[in-house]
Amino acid sequence: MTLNILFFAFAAMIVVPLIYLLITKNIIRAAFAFAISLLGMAAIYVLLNAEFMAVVQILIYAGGIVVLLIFGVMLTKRSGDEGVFTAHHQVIPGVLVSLAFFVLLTQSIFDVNLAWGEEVTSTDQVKQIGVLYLTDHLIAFELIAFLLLMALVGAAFLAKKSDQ
Amino acid sequence: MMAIPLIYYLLLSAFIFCVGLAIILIKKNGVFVLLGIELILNAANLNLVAFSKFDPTLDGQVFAVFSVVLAAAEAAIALAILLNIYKQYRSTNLDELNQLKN
Repeated sequence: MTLNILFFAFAAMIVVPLIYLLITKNIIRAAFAFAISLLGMAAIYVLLNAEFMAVVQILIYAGGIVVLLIFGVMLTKRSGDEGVFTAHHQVIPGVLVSLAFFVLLTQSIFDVNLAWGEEVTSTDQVKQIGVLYLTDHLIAFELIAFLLLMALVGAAFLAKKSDQ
Repeated sequence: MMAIPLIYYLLLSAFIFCVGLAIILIKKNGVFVLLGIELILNAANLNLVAFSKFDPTLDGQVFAVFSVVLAAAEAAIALAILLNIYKQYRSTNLDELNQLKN
């Protein structure tokens, strides 16, 4: 019962900022609403016994990507007229399409039989995940490290100021 | 202690996905569209972790962390590209990028 109340509280922490995100035109406020919903998602991960994932979520999303987005807004802001606001277009078709997609997803979620498997409650998950990275998923781990390095070097190269 | 049913997580994730989709469709600013893409990736991660709770091998969580790393790389590259677009057009309004039209 307590768990259910916690789940709904954290779900509200995700859903309310997301709805604000959808209607606001101010990008900075949107970035902060996004950060709040990311923290809610981290809390949901804790409820799912995925502590490692929760920490990764806070470090990379709330700590990294939100800051990156805010920097993106600052660097692409025209001083003066438009400010940090965005315009909307095709609001009704866009909302209708995503609502229809939501109905479709909900339908298929209710249709699928989800009553399989036992809930796994392991305690030392972080250790298990670390072992998995360096044994079963070693190649993927090395490749993703290399890809991240290349992406960051590429981003630095793309964003650097040209001389002329 | 009663556990939370899996379907709650799936419905929450479907909602996050659809908000991301709506943001991509209705916002004009490039940074905002990027934010919608991040939301969609987050919805996928939530599903992976939720299913991984019923899987003794933990592979879902491992894959979710890979997906987070990819999202970070994508955000960095996309923002660098947006900076270049801004240098070129003095705007990040995606409707104005119509040089290839006609």
